[in-house]
Amino acid sequence: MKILVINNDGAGFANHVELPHGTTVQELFNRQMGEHAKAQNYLIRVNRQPVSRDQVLVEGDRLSITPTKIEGARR
Amino acid sequence: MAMNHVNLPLVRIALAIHGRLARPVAPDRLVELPTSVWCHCETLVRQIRRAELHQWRLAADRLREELCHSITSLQSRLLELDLRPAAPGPYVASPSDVYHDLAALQDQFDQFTIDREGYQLAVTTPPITLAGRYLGPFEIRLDWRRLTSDSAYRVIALDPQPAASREGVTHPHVLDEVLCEGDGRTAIRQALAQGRLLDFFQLVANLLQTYNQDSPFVELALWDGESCGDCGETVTADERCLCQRCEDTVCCDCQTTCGDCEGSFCNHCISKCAHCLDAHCSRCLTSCKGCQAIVCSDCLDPSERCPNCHDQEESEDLDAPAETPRPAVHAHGVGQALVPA
Repeated sequence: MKILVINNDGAGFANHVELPHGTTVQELFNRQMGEHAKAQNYLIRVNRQPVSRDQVLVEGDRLSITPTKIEGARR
Repeated sequence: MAMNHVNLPLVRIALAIHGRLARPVAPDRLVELPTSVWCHCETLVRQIRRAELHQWRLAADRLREELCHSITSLQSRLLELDLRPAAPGPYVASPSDVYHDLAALQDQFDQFTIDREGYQLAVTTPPITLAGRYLGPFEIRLDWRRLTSDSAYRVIALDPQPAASREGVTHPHVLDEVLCEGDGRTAIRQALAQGRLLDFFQLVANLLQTYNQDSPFVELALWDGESCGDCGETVTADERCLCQRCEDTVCCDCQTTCGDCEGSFCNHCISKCAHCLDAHCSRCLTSCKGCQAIVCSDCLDPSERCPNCHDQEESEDLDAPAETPRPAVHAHGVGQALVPA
């Protein structure tokens, strides 16, 4: 199944990815961010709504990962 | 998100914003058939027929030869045509995506306003408090005509609590309504360029909720002003003086003006003239060549002696016995006499 993944961490990108049926939000998060990334440091939404980690993704879903802490600067 | 009905005004805004995202087709993707070569082949065929009709065999042979070359050229031009579907370019939001982002912004921010005539969208953040410092709510105002511009949006303090030392700094990372995006810059710019409005507003709101103490316009610890290096009292921008020597901040009460160069100095960088006791900076004080006392230029005589040494030397000169000229004595027998100088 095809899912639109929007990763707002670092460079920020939006790509369609192919995933096996039954993939959960947590599994896709781990695949995108690595095992060491902590989910609590990110706002994870499916189709623009906050979701639980164990939600199963379905064809055409739009998943976005946005860090909750982003450091600004002075220049 | 439950969409029970279509919000037509929001659809119009979504279409207007999407219109700003539309990209022209790249010129190298346009298909151009080799019609000029084909027309040349048709002309050659007509000429060959006419030549054969008149039994101009030599001309007909040359024309056939040219036709053969033209057909080869036509074949290669046709084979060069790339009719494969274009590779997918970078993601750009569809009108539907923009519409759903606008609807989600309405749901997820307490205040979301659309100014269609001014081409602006705005959301209001909750009141922001960083490291115990209340900064108030902020409005993030986006001009959708300038999505790819550096000045696409402004961050406006709705209950301004500016830093004492810089009036334009309403947040450690906001100066004159411009957010310094730091680590969020690329993601914010990508979200704007791709028309992901919900992501854009969420990124900016999250950035405003974060304090990077390594790179603020004004540190939160110094938000109410800097402390005076001498007395320790808080100094606001209006009361702030910089020591011209050590560049430490001092308050108006603690700063001292040098009696010679008239510069401002902190107590650590100013001294008193040993003679007149006026305050002077170290550059304007000199050691007396007599007693080494530190005195100001006004108190030095041309020989760089302090008034004490100057007076002492003068009195010593007066006390010394005057030299009496000796009378001229005739030197007997040599015909010479001693003459005082």
